[in-house]
Amino acid sequence: MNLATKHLLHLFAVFAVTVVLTTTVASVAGTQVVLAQLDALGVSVSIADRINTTWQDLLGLGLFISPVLGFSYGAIIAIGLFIAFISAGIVSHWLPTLRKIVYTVAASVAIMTILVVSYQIFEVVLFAFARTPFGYLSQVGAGAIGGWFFSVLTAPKGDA
Amino acid sequence: MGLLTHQQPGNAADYVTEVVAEALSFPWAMAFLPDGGILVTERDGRIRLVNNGQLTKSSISGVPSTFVRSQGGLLDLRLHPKFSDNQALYFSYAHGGPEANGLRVARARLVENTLYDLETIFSVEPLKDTPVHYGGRLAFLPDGTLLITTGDGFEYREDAQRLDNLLGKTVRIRDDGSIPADNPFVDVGGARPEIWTLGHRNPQGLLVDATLGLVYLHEHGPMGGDELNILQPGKNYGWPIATYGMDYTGARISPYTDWPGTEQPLIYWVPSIAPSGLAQYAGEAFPDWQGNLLVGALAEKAVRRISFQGGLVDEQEVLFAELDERIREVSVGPDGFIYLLTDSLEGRLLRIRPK
Repeated sequence: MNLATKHLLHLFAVFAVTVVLTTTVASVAGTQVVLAQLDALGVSVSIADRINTTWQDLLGLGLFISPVLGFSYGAIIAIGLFIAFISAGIVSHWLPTLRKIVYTVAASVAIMTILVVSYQIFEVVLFAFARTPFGYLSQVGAGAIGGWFFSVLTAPKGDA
Repeated sequence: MGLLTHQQPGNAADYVTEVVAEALSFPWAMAFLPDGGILVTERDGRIRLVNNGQLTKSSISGVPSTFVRSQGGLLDLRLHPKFSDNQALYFSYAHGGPEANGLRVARARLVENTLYDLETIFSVEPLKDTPVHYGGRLAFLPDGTLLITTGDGFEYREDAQRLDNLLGKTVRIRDDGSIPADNPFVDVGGARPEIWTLGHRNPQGLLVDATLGLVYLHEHGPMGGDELNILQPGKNYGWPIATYGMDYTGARISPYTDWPGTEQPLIYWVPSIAPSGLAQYAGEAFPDWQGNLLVGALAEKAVRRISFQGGLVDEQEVLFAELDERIREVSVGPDGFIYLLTDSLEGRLLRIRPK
Protein backbone atom coordinates (compact mmCIF):
# COMPACT_ATOMS: atom_id res chain seq x y z
CA MET A 1 0.00 0.00 0.00
CA ASN A 2 1.52 3.33 -0.97
CA LEU A 3 1.72 6.39 1.26
CA ALA A 4 -1.10 8.24 -0.47
CA THR A 5 -3.49 5.35 0.07
CA LYS A 6 -2.46 5.02 3.70
CA HIS A 7 -3.04 8.73 4.19
CA LEU A 8 -6.48 8.54 2.62
CA LEU A 9 -7.43 5.56 4.75
CA HIS A 10 -6.24 7.42 7.83
CA LEU A 11 -8.30 10.45 6.86
CA PHE A 12 -11.35 8.31 6.26
CA ALA A 13 -10.98 6.51 9.59
CA VAL A 14 -10.55 9.77 11.49
CA PHE A 15 -13.49 11.27 9.63
CA ALA A 16 -15.69 8.31 10.54
CA VAL A 17 -14.72 8.56 14.20
CA THR A 18 -15.31 12.32 14.06
CA VAL A 19 -18.84 11.80 12.72
CA VAL A 20 -19.57 9.29 15.46
CA LEU A 21 -18.13 11.61 18.10
CA THR A 22 -20.02 14.68 16.87
CA THR A 23 -23.29 12.79 16.52
CA THR A 24 -22.87 11.28 19.95
CA VAL A 25 -22.18 14.61 21.64
CA ALA A 26 -25.04 16.27 19.74
CA SER A 27 -27.45 13.47 20.57
CA VAL A 28 -26.55 13.16 24.25
CA ALA A 29 -26.71 16.92 24.72
CA GLY A 30 -29.98 17.09 22.81
CA THR A 31 -31.59 14.43 24.95
CA GLN A 32 -30.70 16.28 28.14
CA VAL A 33 -32.19 19.49 26.73
CA VAL A 34 -35.49 17.73 25.90
CA LEU A 35 -35.61 16.00 29.28
CA ALA A 36 -34.93 19.33 30.98
CA GLN A 37 -38.02 20.72 29.25
CA LEU A 38 -40.07 17.84 30.64
CA ASP A 39 -38.50 18.42 34.05
CA ALA A 40 -39.71 22.02 33.87
CA LEU A 41 -43.23 20.58 33.61
CA GLY A 42 -42.74 18.67 36.85
CA VAL A 43 -41.77 15.36 35.24
CA SER A 44 -38.82 14.03 37.19
CA VAL A 45 -37.01 11.56 35.00
CA SER A 46 -35.24 8.76 36.85
CA ILE A 47 -31.58 8.04 36.13
CA ALA A 48 -32.53 4.73 34.55
CA ASP A 49 -35.08 6.39 32.27
CA ARG A 50 -32.58 9.12 31.42
CA ILE A 51 -29.91 6.59 30.45
CA ASN A 52 -32.39 4.54 28.45
CA THR A 53 -33.74 7.60 26.61
CA THR A 54 -30.24 8.86 25.91
CA TRP A 55 -29.32 5.49 24.42
CA GLN A 56 -32.57 5.27 22.39
CA ASP A 57 -31.99 8.78 21.05
CA LEU A 58 -28.42 7.94 20.09
CA LEU A 59 -29.68 5.02 18.03
CA GLY A 60 -32.56 7.03 16.65
CA LEU A 61 -30.70 10.19 15.74
CA GLY A 62 -27.62 8.33 14.61
CA LEU A 63 -29.11 5.57 12.55
CA PHE A 64 -32.85 6.06 12.02
CA ILE A 65 -33.65 7.26 8.51
CA SER A 66 -36.25 9.92 9.19
CA PRO A 67 -39.08 9.79 6.64
CA VAL A 68 -39.29 13.56 6.90
CA LEU A 69 -35.58 14.27 6.48
CA GLY A 70 -34.76 11.39 4.16
CA PHE A 71 -31.61 10.72 6.21
CA SER A 72 -30.66 10.18 9.80
CA TYR A 73 -29.33 13.15 11.77
CA GLY A 74 -26.01 11.30 11.88
CA ALA A 75 -25.89 11.00 8.12
CA ILE A 76 -26.74 14.67 7.72
CA ILE A 77 -23.95 15.55 10.16
CA ALA A 78 -21.58 13.40 8.11
CA ILE A 79 -22.50 15.25 4.93
CA GLY A 80 -22.15 18.61 6.66
CA LEU A 81 -18.78 17.77 8.17
CA PHE A 82 -17.48 16.44 4.87
CA ILE A 83 -18.24 19.73 3.16
CA ALA A 84 -16.92 21.66 6.15
CA PHE A 85 -13.62 19.80 6.26
CA ILE A 86 -13.05 20.13 2.52
CA SER A 87 -13.55 23.88 2.91
CA ALA A 88 -11.42 24.00 6.05
CA GLY A 89 -8.63 22.15 4.27
CA ILE A 90 -8.56 24.78 1.54
CA VAL A 91 -8.63 27.69 3.99
CA SER A 92 -5.99 26.06 6.21
CA HIS A 93 -3.64 25.87 3.29
CA TRP A 94 -3.51 29.66 3.38
CA LEU A 95 -3.73 29.99 7.15
CA PRO A 96 -1.70 27.04 8.45
CA THR A 97 -1.15 28.51 11.91
CA LEU A 98 -4.92 28.80 12.42
CA ARG A 99 -5.66 25.27 11.27
CA LYS A 100 -7.34 24.02 14.44
CA ILE A 101 -9.52 27.14 14.70
CA VAL A 102 -10.48 26.91 11.03
CA TYR A 103 -11.63 23.30 11.35
CA THR A 104 -13.45 23.99 14.61
CA VAL A 105 -15.32 26.94 13.13
CA ALA A 106 -16.05 25.09 9.91
CA ALA A 107 -17.64 22.18 11.75
CA SER A 108 -19.66 24.56 13.94
CA VAL A 109 -20.90 26.36 10.86
CA ALA A 110 -21.85 23.01 9.34
CA ILE A 111 -24.17 22.23 12.25
CA MET A 112 -25.61 25.72 12.17
CA THR A 113 -26.25 25.31 8.46
CA ILE A 114 -28.08 22.04 9.04
CA LEU A 115 -30.35 23.71 11.57
CA VAL A 116 -30.93 26.81 9.45
CA VAL A 117 -31.62 24.88 6.24
CA SER A 118 -34.01 22.47 7.95
CA TYR A 119 -35.90 25.47 9.34
CA GLN A 120 -36.10 27.08 5.91
CA ILE A 121 -37.42 23.87 4.38
CA PHE A 122 -39.94 22.88 7.05
CA GLU A 123 -40.78 26.33 8.47
CA VAL A 124 -40.44 24.90 11.97
CA VAL A 125 -37.53 23.96 14.20
CA LEU A 126 -37.64 20.26 13.46
CA PHE A 127 -34.98 19.31 15.99
CA ALA A 128 -36.75 19.85 19.29
CA PHE A 129 -33.53 20.25 21.24
CA ALA A 130 -32.57 23.24 19.10
CA ARG A 131 -35.62 25.30 20.03
CA THR A 132 -33.86 27.09 22.88
CA PRO A 133 -30.62 29.13 22.67
CA PHE A 134 -28.88 26.67 24.99
CA GLY A 135 -30.08 23.69 22.96
CA TYR A 136 -29.02 25.35 19.73
CA LEU A 137 -25.58 26.10 21.13
CA SER A 138 -25.24 22.53 22.38
CA GLN A 139 -25.52 21.32 18.80
CA VAL A 140 -23.09 23.92 17.50
CA GLY A 141 -20.77 22.97 20.35
CA ALA A 142 -20.91 19.33 19.27
CA GLY A 143 -19.80 20.46 15.85
CA ALA A 144 -16.95 22.45 17.37
CA ILE A 145 -15.77 19.42 19.32
CA GLY A 146 -15.84 17.31 16.15
CA GLY A 147 -13.97 19.93 14.17
CA TRP A 148 -11.28 20.33 16.78
CA PHE A 149 -10.96 16.53 17.13
CA PHE A 150 -10.52 16.08 13.40
CA SER A 151 -7.97 18.86 13.16
CA VAL A 152 -5.84 17.35 15.94
CA LEU A 153 -5.86 13.82 14.56
CA THR A 154 -5.16 14.95 11.01
CA ALA A 155 -2.55 17.55 11.86
CA PRO A 156 0.53 17.38 9.66
CA LYS A 157 3.47 15.78 11.45
CA GLY A 158 5.38 18.29 13.55
CA ASP A 159 2.30 20.37 14.41
CA ALA A 160 1.58 20.85 18.12
CA MET B 1 -71.22 13.04 -11.44
CA GLY B 2 -68.78 10.17 -11.21
CA LEU B 3 -69.69 6.72 -9.98
CA LEU B 4 -67.53 3.99 -8.55
CA THR B 5 -68.93 0.75 -7.18
CA HIS B 6 -67.20 -1.37 -4.63
CA GLN B 7 -67.69 -4.45 -2.57
CA GLN B 8 -65.45 -5.25 0.33
CA PRO B 9 -65.16 -8.63 2.02
CA GLY B 10 -66.14 -9.28 5.63
CA ASN B 11 -68.62 -7.07 7.39
CA ALA B 12 -68.37 -4.11 4.99
CA ALA B 13 -71.39 -2.95 3.07
CA ASP B 14 -71.75 -2.79 -0.70
CA TYR B 15 -71.58 0.84 -1.60
CA VAL B 16 -71.31 3.31 -4.40
CA THR B 17 -69.06 6.36 -4.39
CA GLU B 18 -70.37 9.47 -6.13
CA VAL B 19 -68.52 12.68 -6.85
CA VAL B 20 -70.73 15.52 -5.63
CA ALA B 21 -68.25 18.31 -6.32
CA GLU B 22 -64.70 18.59 -7.49
CA ALA B 23 -61.97 21.14 -8.15
CA LEU B 24 -62.11 22.20 -4.50
CA SER B 25 -58.84 23.65 -3.28
CA PHE B 26 -57.82 21.73 -0.14
CA PRO B 27 -61.35 21.49 1.26
CA TRP B 28 -61.34 21.25 5.05
CA ALA B 29 -64.87 21.03 6.42
CA MET B 30 -68.50 20.78 5.40
CA ALA B 31 -71.84 21.72 6.90
CA PHE B 32 -75.30 20.67 5.77
CA LEU B 33 -77.85 23.46 5.41
CA PRO B 34 -81.52 22.91 6.23
CA ASP B 35 -82.46 23.54 2.60
CA GLY B 36 -80.23 20.67 1.41
CA GLY B 37 -77.24 22.75 0.40
CA ILE B 38 -73.76 21.89 1.60
CA LEU B 39 -71.22 24.50 2.64
CA VAL B 40 -67.56 23.57 2.16
CA THR B 41 -64.53 25.49 3.40
CA GLU B 42 -61.45 25.70 1.25
CA ARG B 43 -58.25 26.20 3.17
CA ASP B 44 -57.19 29.12 1.04
CA GLY B 45 -60.01 31.19 2.51
CA ARG B 46 -63.22 30.47 0.64
CA ILE B 47 -66.55 29.02 1.66
CA ARG B 48 -68.22 27.28 -1.27
CA LEU B 49 -71.82 26.18 -1.67
CA VAL B 50 -73.01 22.96 -3.24
CA ASN B 51 -76.65 23.36 -4.23
CA ASN B 52 -78.71 20.66 -5.91
CA GLY B 53 -75.55 18.72 -6.60
CA GLN B 54 -73.84 21.66 -8.28
CA LEU B 55 -70.88 23.62 -6.96
CA THR B 56 -71.78 27.29 -7.31
CA LYS B 57 -69.08 29.26 -9.12
CA SER B 58 -68.87 32.16 -6.72
CA SER B 59 -67.98 31.67 -3.09
CA ILE B 60 -69.73 33.01 0.00
CA SER B 61 -68.75 36.65 0.47
CA GLY B 62 -67.81 38.32 3.75
CA VAL B 63 -65.26 35.74 4.86
CA PRO B 64 -62.51 37.47 6.86
CA SER B 65 -58.91 37.61 5.72
CA THR B 66 -57.12 34.37 6.52
CA PHE B 67 -53.44 33.49 7.01
CA VAL B 68 -52.94 30.84 4.37
CA ARG B 69 -49.61 29.10 4.72
CA SER B 70 -48.60 25.46 5.21
CA GLN B 71 -51.36 24.04 7.47
CA GLY B 72 -52.95 27.41 8.10
CA GLY B 73 -56.02 28.81 6.42
CA LEU B 74 -59.79 28.59 6.66
CA LEU B 75 -60.56 25.47 8.64
CA ASP B 76 -63.76 24.21 10.26
CA LEU B 77 -67.31 25.50 10.11
CA ARG B 78 -70.43 24.65 12.07
CA LEU B 79 -74.02 25.78 12.02
CA HIS B 80 -75.36 27.09 15.28
CA PRO B 81 -77.78 24.52 16.81
CA LYS B 82 -80.57 27.05 16.17
CA PHE B 83 -79.39 27.99 12.69
CA SER B 84 -82.90 27.84 11.30
CA ASP B 85 -83.78 30.73 13.59
CA ASN B 86 -80.56 32.75 13.68
CA GLN B 87 -78.64 31.81 10.48
CA ALA B 88 -75.49 31.82 12.61
CA LEU B 89 -72.45 30.17 11.09
CA TYR B 90 -69.29 29.53 13.12
CA PHE B 91 -65.90 29.01 11.52
CA SER B 92 -62.28 28.65 12.58
CA TYR B 93 -59.30 29.98 10.71
CA ALA B 94 -55.68 31.00 11.03
CA HIS B 95 -55.19 34.74 11.34
CA GLY B 96 -52.14 36.97 11.52
CA GLY B 97 -48.84 36.67 9.70
CA PRO B 98 -45.70 34.54 9.57
CA GLU B 99 -44.20 35.98 12.76
CA ALA B 100 -47.43 36.17 14.78
CA ASN B 101 -50.40 33.99 13.95
CA GLY B 102 -52.96 31.86 15.68
CA LEU B 103 -56.34 30.19 15.56
CA ARG B 104 -59.39 32.40 15.62
CA VAL B 105 -63.09 31.54 15.71
CA ALA B 106 -65.70 33.90 14.32
CA ARG B 107 -69.43 33.84 13.79
CA ALA B 108 -71.60 35.54 11.25
CA ARG B 109 -75.12 35.42 9.88
CA LEU B 110 -75.42 33.68 6.55
CA VAL B 111 -78.02 35.38 4.38
CA GLU B 112 -78.27 34.24 0.78
CA ASN B 113 -74.57 33.94 -0.15
CA THR B 114 -73.18 36.60 2.14
CA LEU B 115 -71.92 36.69 5.71
CA TYR B 116 -73.19 39.59 7.80
CA ASP B 117 -72.43 40.80 11.32
CA LEU B 118 -69.04 39.12 11.40
CA GLU B 119 -67.77 38.87 14.97
CA THR B 120 -64.62 37.33 16.41
CA ILE B 121 -65.56 35.30 19.47
CA PHE B 122 -62.29 33.56 20.28
CA SER B 123 -58.58 33.92 19.56
CA VAL B 124 -55.81 31.65 20.74
CA GLU B 125 -53.14 33.32 22.83
CA PRO B 126 -50.24 33.59 22.63
CA LEU B 127 -49.69 34.08 18.94
CA LYS B 128 -46.94 31.95 17.43
CA ASP B 129 -44.47 32.09 14.59
CA THR B 130 -45.14 28.67 13.08
CA PRO B 131 -47.64 28.01 10.27
CA VAL B 132 -48.69 24.61 11.60
CA HIS B 133 -50.67 22.84 14.32
CA TYR B 134 -53.77 24.98 14.69
CA GLY B 135 -56.23 22.27 15.74
CA GLY B 136 -59.37 24.13 14.71
CA ARG B 137 -62.29 21.72 15.07
CA LEU B 138 -65.59 22.98 16.46
CA ALA B 139 -68.48 21.20 18.15
CA PHE B 140 -71.51 22.38 20.09
CA LEU B 141 -72.41 20.69 23.34
CA PRO B 142 -76.07 19.99 24.16
CA ASP B 143 -76.05 22.99 26.53
CA GLY B 144 -75.29 25.30 23.60
CA THR B 145 -71.67 25.97 24.53
CA LEU B 146 -68.97 25.60 21.90
CA LEU B 147 -65.90 23.37 22.09
CA ILE B 148 -62.82 24.35 20.08
CA THR B 149 -59.62 22.35 19.62
CA THR B 150 -56.33 24.22 19.51
CA GLY B 151 -52.94 22.95 18.44
CA ASP B 152 -49.56 23.29 20.11
CA GLY B 153 -47.93 25.22 17.29
CA PHE B 154 -45.37 22.38 16.92
CA GLU B 155 -42.50 24.24 18.55
CA TYR B 156 -44.43 25.02 21.74
CA ARG B 157 -45.46 21.53 22.75
CA GLU B 158 -44.69 22.05 26.45
CA ASP B 159 -47.28 24.85 26.47
CA ALA B 160 -49.92 22.18 25.99
CA GLN B 161 -49.31 21.28 29.62
CA ARG B 162 -49.42 24.81 31.01
CA LEU B 163 -52.69 26.44 32.03
CA ASP B 164 -51.55 29.99 31.33
CA ASN B 165 -51.98 29.77 27.58
CA LEU B 166 -54.39 28.37 24.99
CA LEU B 167 -52.05 26.20 22.91
CA GLY B 168 -52.72 22.46 22.81
CA LYS B 169 -56.10 22.60 24.52
CA THR B 170 -59.78 22.13 24.04
CA VAL B 171 -61.57 25.29 24.94
CA ARG B 172 -65.22 25.79 25.92
CA ILE B 173 -67.00 29.09 25.43
CA ARG B 174 -70.58 30.23 25.07
CA ASP B 175 -71.89 30.91 21.60
CA ASP B 176 -71.16 34.62 22.06
CA GLY B 177 -67.57 34.03 23.16
CA SER B 178 -68.13 34.54 26.87
CA ILE B 179 -66.74 32.06 29.38
CA PRO B 180 -69.08 29.58 31.10
CA ALA B 181 -68.86 29.86 34.88
CA ASP B 182 -68.62 26.09 35.25
CA ASN B 183 -65.46 25.66 33.18
CA PRO B 184 -63.00 23.50 35.12
CA PHE B 185 -60.22 26.08 35.53
CA VAL B 186 -62.31 29.21 35.97
CA ASP B 187 -61.29 29.54 39.62
CA VAL B 188 -57.66 28.48 39.21
CA GLY B 189 -55.26 31.38 39.61
CA GLY B 190 -53.19 32.05 36.53
CA ALA B 191 -55.18 29.65 34.37
CA ARG B 192 -57.00 30.67 31.23
CA PRO B 193 -60.68 30.26 32.08
CA GLU B 194 -61.54 29.06 28.57
CA ILE B 195 -59.61 25.80 29.02
CA TRP B 196 -61.68 22.63 29.12
CA THR B 197 -58.97 20.00 28.62
CA LEU B 198 -55.20 20.16 28.13
CA GLY B 199 -52.31 18.12 26.83
CA HIS B 200 -53.17 17.99 23.12
CA ARG B 201 -50.89 18.18 20.09
CA ASN B 202 -52.94 18.91 16.99
CA PRO B 203 -56.54 17.71 17.33
CA GLN B 204 -58.47 17.64 14.07
CA GLY B 205 -61.38 15.49 15.13
CA LEU B 206 -64.10 16.46 17.60
CA LEU B 207 -67.51 14.89 18.08
CA VAL B 208 -70.29 15.22 20.60
CA ASP B 209 -72.44 12.13 21.16
CA ALA B 210 -75.41 13.80 22.79
CA THR B 211 -77.18 10.48 23.35
CA LEU B 212 -74.46 9.00 25.51
CA GLY B 213 -73.17 12.35 26.76
CA LEU B 214 -69.69 11.69 25.40
CA VAL B 215 -67.18 13.95 23.69
CA TYR B 216 -64.69 12.22 21.40
CA LEU B 217 -61.49 13.83 20.18
CA HIS B 218 -58.73 12.54 18.00
CA GLU B 219 -55.38 14.16 17.38
CA HIS B 220 -52.24 13.80 15.33
CA GLY B 221 -49.27 12.26 17.07
CA PRO B 222 -45.77 12.97 15.79
CA MET B 223 -44.33 9.88 14.16
CA GLY B 224 -46.83 7.39 15.48
CA GLY B 225 -48.95 8.12 18.50
CA ASP B 226 -52.16 9.42 16.92
CA GLU B 227 -54.88 9.12 19.54
CA LEU B 228 -58.63 8.86 19.98
CA ASN B 229 -59.77 10.06 23.40
CA ILE B 230 -63.00 10.53 25.32
CA LEU B 231 -62.84 13.98 26.83
CA GLN B 232 -63.84 14.95 30.32
CA PRO B 233 -63.59 18.49 31.60
CA GLY B 234 -60.38 19.31 33.43
CA LYS B 235 -58.52 16.23 32.28
CA ASN B 236 -54.96 16.16 30.94
CA TYR B 237 -54.42 14.11 27.79
CA GLY B 238 -50.70 13.93 28.26
CA TRP B 239 -48.94 15.59 25.33
CA PRO B 240 -45.91 15.83 25.40
CA ILE B 241 -45.30 14.11 28.72
CA ALA B 242 -46.92 10.84 27.69
CA THR B 243 -47.05 9.81 24.07
CA TYR B 244 -46.88 6.68 21.95
CA GLY B 245 -45.10 8.58 19.20
CA MET B 246 -41.54 9.55 18.55
CA ASP B 247 -40.12 12.68 17.02
CA TYR B 248 -39.70 12.97 13.27
CA THR B 249 -35.94 13.12 13.76
CA GLY B 250 -35.79 9.70 15.41
CA ALA B 251 -35.46 11.11 18.92
CA ARG B 252 -37.83 10.52 21.81
CA ILE B 253 -40.46 13.07 22.71
CA SER B 254 -40.67 11.59 26.19
CA PRO B 255 -39.55 8.41 27.93
CA TYR B 256 -43.17 7.79 28.92
CA THR B 257 -46.31 6.47 27.30
CA ASP B 258 -48.29 7.18 30.44
CA TRP B 259 -47.83 9.43 33.42
CA PRO B 260 -49.78 10.03 36.65
CA GLY B 261 -52.45 12.63 36.15
CA THR B 262 -52.76 12.07 32.40
CA GLU B 263 -55.38 10.12 30.52
CA GLN B 264 -54.73 7.10 28.35
CA PRO B 265 -56.26 7.13 24.88
CA LEU B 266 -59.13 4.92 23.86
CA ILE B 267 -57.09 4.00 20.79
CA TYR B 268 -53.64 4.98 19.62
CA TRP B 269 -52.23 4.37 16.17
CA VAL B 270 -48.65 3.40 15.42
CA PRO B 271 -47.72 4.01 12.67
CA SER B 272 -49.69 7.21 12.30
CA ILE B 273 -52.83 7.29 10.21
CA ALA B 274 -52.99 11.12 10.47
CA PRO B 275 -56.61 11.39 11.60
CA SER B 276 -58.70 14.29 10.38
CA GLY B 277 -62.45 14.49 10.59
CA LEU B 278 -64.67 12.54 12.95
CA ALA B 279 -68.29 11.49 12.60
CA GLN B 280 -70.70 9.09 14.20
CA TYR B 281 -72.94 7.09 11.95
CA ALA B 282 -76.65 7.65 12.45
CA GLY B 283 -78.92 6.76 9.59
CA GLU B 284 -80.73 4.03 7.72
CA ALA B 285 -78.44 3.64 4.76
CA PHE B 286 -75.85 1.57 6.63
CA PRO B 287 -77.79 0.08 9.55
CA ASP B 288 -74.92 -2.19 10.64
CA TRP B 289 -72.83 0.89 11.33
CA GLN B 290 -75.28 2.58 13.69
CA GLY B 291 -73.36 4.41 16.41
CA ASN B 292 -69.97 3.56 14.96
CA LEU B 293 -67.32 6.24 14.76
CA LEU B 294 -65.87 7.19 11.39
CA VAL B 295 -62.33 8.59 11.46
CA GLY B 296 -60.92 10.22 8.34
CA ALA B 297 -57.22 9.54 7.75
CA LEU B 298 -54.84 11.64 5.69
CA ALA B 299 -51.73 9.47 5.71
CA GLU B 300 -53.60 6.16 5.62
CA LYS B 301 -55.83 7.48 2.81
CA ALA B 302 -58.92 5.81 4.19
CA VAL B 303 -61.65 6.04 6.79
CA ARG B 304 -61.52 3.96 9.93
CA ARG B 305 -64.85 2.61 11.17
CA ILE B 306 -64.69 1.97 14.91
CA SER B 307 -67.32 -0.09 16.65
CA PHE B 308 -67.87 -0.48 20.35
CA GLN B 309 -69.02 -3.32 22.56
CA GLY B 310 -69.89 -2.63 26.18
CA GLY B 311 -68.28 0.77 26.02
CA LEU B 312 -64.99 -0.64 24.80
CA VAL B 313 -63.54 -0.56 21.30
CA ASP B 314 -64.59 -3.71 19.50
CA GLU B 315 -63.18 -3.52 16.02
CA GLN B 316 -61.67 -1.18 13.50
CA GLU B 317 -62.34 -1.51 9.78
CA VAL B 318 -60.43 0.33 7.09
CA LEU B 319 -62.90 1.72 4.55
CA PHE B 320 -62.65 3.48 1.20
CA ALA B 321 -58.93 2.77 0.77
CA GLU B 322 -59.61 2.02 -2.88
CA LEU B 323 -60.13 5.75 -3.41
CA ASP B 324 -56.41 6.31 -2.65
CA GLU B 325 -57.25 9.77 -1.31
CA ARG B 326 -56.12 11.69 1.75
CA ILE B 327 -59.37 12.09 3.70
CA ARG B 328 -59.65 15.46 5.44
CA GLU B 329 -63.24 15.31 6.63
CA VAL B 330 -65.95 12.69 7.07
CA SER B 331 -69.58 13.55 7.81
CA VAL B 332 -72.92 11.83 7.84
CA GLY B 333 -75.52 13.73 5.86
CA PRO B 334 -79.18 14.19 6.76
CA ASP B 335 -79.88 11.55 4.10
CA GLY B 336 -77.86 8.96 6.05
CA PHE B 337 -75.17 8.83 3.40
CA ILE B 338 -71.50 9.34 4.21
CA TYR B 339 -69.71 12.36 2.83
CA LEU B 340 -65.96 12.73 2.45
CA LEU B 341 -63.67 15.62 1.61
CA THR B 342 -60.38 14.73 -0.01
CA ASP B 343 -57.27 16.72 0.86
CA SER B 344 -55.92 17.88 -2.47
CA LEU B 345 -55.45 20.94 -4.65
CA GLU B 346 -58.12 19.25 -6.77
CA GLY B 347 -60.16 18.12 -3.79
CA ARG B 348 -63.49 16.42 -4.07
CA LEU B 349 -66.68 16.11 -2.09
CA LEU B 350 -67.69 12.47 -2.28
CA ARG B 351 -70.92 10.77 -1.26
CA ILE B 352 -70.95 7.13 -0.20
CA ARG B 353 -74.35 5.42 -0.46
CA PRO B 354 -75.50 1.81 -0.51
CA LYS B 355 -75.50 0.14 -3.88
